[in-house]
Amino acid sequence: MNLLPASAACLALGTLACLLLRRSPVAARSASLGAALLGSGLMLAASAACLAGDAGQAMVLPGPLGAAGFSFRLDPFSALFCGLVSCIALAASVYGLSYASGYDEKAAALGAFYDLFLLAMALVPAADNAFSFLFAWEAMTLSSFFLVTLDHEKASSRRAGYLYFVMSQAGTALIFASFLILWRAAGSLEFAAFRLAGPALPAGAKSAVFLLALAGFGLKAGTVPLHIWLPYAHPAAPSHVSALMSGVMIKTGIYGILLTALGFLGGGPAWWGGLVLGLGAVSSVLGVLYALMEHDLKRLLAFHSVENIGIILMGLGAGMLFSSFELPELALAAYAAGLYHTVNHAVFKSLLFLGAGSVLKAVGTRDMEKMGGLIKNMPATALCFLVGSMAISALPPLNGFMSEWLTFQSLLSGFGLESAAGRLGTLTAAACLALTGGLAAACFVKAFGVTFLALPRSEEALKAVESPAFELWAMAGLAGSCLLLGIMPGPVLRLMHAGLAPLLPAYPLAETPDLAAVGILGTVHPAVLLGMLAGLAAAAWLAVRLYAGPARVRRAPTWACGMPGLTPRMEYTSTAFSKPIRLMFAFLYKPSREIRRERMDQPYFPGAIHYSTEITYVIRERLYRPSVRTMLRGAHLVRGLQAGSVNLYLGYLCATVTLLLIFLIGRAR
Amino acid sequence: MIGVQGWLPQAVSFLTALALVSAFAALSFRTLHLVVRAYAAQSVLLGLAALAVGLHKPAWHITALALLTIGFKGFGIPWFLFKVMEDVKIRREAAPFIGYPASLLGGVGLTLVSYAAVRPVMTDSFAGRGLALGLTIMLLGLWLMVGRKKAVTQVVGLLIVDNGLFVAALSTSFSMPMIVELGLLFDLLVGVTVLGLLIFRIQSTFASIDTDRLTRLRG
Repeated sequence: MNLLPASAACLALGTLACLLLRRSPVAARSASLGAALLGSGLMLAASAACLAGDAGQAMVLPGPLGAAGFSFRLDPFSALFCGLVSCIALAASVYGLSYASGYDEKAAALGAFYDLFLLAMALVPAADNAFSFLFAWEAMTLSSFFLVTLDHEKASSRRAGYLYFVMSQAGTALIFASFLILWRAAGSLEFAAFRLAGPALPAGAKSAVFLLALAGFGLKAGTVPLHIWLPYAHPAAPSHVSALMSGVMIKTGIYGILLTALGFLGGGPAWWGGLVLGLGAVSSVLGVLYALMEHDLKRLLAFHSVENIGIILMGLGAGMLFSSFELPELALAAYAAGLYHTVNHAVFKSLLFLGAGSVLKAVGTRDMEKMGGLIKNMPATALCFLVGSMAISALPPLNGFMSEWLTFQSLLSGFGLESAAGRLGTLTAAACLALTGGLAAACFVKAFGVTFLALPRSEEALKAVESPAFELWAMAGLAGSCLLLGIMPGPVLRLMHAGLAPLLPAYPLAETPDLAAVGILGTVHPAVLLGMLAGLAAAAWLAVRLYAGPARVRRAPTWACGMPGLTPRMEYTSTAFSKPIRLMFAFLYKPSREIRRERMDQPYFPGAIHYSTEITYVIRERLYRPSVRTMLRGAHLVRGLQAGSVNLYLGYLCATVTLLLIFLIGRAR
Repeated sequence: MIGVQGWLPQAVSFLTALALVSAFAALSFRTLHLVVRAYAAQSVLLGLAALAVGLHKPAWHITALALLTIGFKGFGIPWFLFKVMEDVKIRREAAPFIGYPASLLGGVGLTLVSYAAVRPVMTDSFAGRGLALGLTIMLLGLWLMVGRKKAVTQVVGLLIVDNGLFVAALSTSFSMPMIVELGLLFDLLVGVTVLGLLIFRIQSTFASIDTDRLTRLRG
């Protein structure tokens, strides 16, 4: 059964209903989320049907007078992304049932743009011609722009929105350019024609298409150095929207890169893979390093999105590298690892954003230094956040471990490459991945510890209450998925292989991928790992029990060297926790600090001491600021032309017409 | 146009040539009243040319349009501009942006350029002459706008550009389609009204209608 049109209609009707019901916030909210749940459910069913072999999930609206119309069709590759979008959308919408009530004065706007955003995001992978793709792409960008600027009273939201808008438009322009080159070669806007014409392009044109698409889609995905909008735009939106943006919207960039590089162009030279690998390595290390320095919980998560996109790109880049060296089994393992991490990151990052949203609602601030002790009042939220933190830190038996481990394995198998540069590149990337994993774990020790453990640092944190049931269900569902995806890699990898089939028609896609056969070493089934872990824990518990007798619980205040009056002000802060890293990577952060003492007249008894520290964002300072400055200088030079006199402007007009006429005379001679 | 015989080409040529003379007159006059009168005379001459075409064919819609043009451009708009000038009490162009001799010399240069530009394009001598004439009148209107400061003169310059368009259309295809011409007339009506109001605003804001006071139009 063709469910795609029903799903699209459902979401479109939800958008309209919100606009019609703008008088009543409750009605608008219910309509929007009801439509979102129904529409996403149908979309999920359509994707599942497509992955099960039904090729009839399509929606075609012919254009006027032979112009390109809308054409959407699911193939297994797009169904993978569509299904991912709808899964996360389901969780976010359930969460929204209680969370969105905090935005009731803007319920209609939030609801309408939310449904539109979901619709556009699901249609981007489903698009079957360039026109539909770019239309859905722009709709996705614009609706998310309005969601980012929902709090338009705040200057920070407006600035974030502006940055997001400008960067996204630049990215879309690059994608347009890339598609135009393909269109000229194919003579048609249909993706089927692109697939035929792409591999036949001359090498230079191919590389141009690839580079334009990599920059355009990479911007949406948030790869360094095009990531600067991401840490500002994602936190500014309502949390369930942040979860969608960070969880799945940036994945459409990954979809685009794969679609262009493999689907349209049919792979390329080794340097393509090397470039993607390098971008991935730089993104992951820089993303996690900047995340460590953040004290804004949501922005910390946003920087981690940059990091995880980097990990995904490392997997995909390794795959492209292996493809160009004619190593199909290895390439397949690397692509599957990249896609696996795409799915995993969507799940745990949306879980973390939802958790951050609940915390934000309970405490009323995004500043981690004002949180603390929340585990006592919000135990369920804390547990879910902990599962997400462990997953993103790649701890077994959760899903993050599985995909990062597979990525790691495929990078290490780059040691068998013939080219020395390839060997060096993959091994360096593997080292970067290892560094990233360690730093990410440190960062989430900080994020979880400072937010949930110890004593509350503010009145609001002391009075926080547990999240409502809908929010907990959504988070619990995602946390359960983290575990399931982690202990069942076999079915997941089968799904990834099914998804890769349309992109890699010539590859040996096995029904049951056998990792040991392609030289991926140390294969242990994660369910066995989980069992071993549980067994070890039980053994340890038994041993302690036998040795020390039944557990005795003694509650006492923390020991403070005999000094009385331990206050939350004396706790380990987020700034303090990340200080060693700040010192180690001082060459990158270029930190500056300011210490200001009040009342200096009594040197031994100072009054208040103010301490603040700041880091420098190298890419913003070294790359963006100089180019903006150069542009403004150029504009100043040209500004002399614009003197403000009407007569002068008319004179320009007259001179232009006259010169054109003289040119015409010259041509005619 | 092929197939046009007899007295018509000569009459149209004569009338449109007089229209060119009146465009030069508008460039040379110092008093605003005279500039508006030059425009009125030009409009009437063009209306008469169109009337000749209409009667020669004969085609009732061109005749009606010709009469409309004479009435509207020859009398209606000038009357409105006179009224505006009376209200803002401005009579002379005291200090033009480009001096009068320079204006005239520039006008002659533009005439030469447009004739030279049209010659290789048009093979039919009558239509070619007409097109060159129309182009010249358009450029002269633009040139008038460049060289003068008073808002009224600039409005007249714009109207002369429109007349140039009329000449070009008349002599290359013997009238435009009715709907286009009506649309143009309506455009002029709205445009002149808006510009008239704008002149009042400029006058009340700056106590002058010199457009060189409007220097804020910049980045």
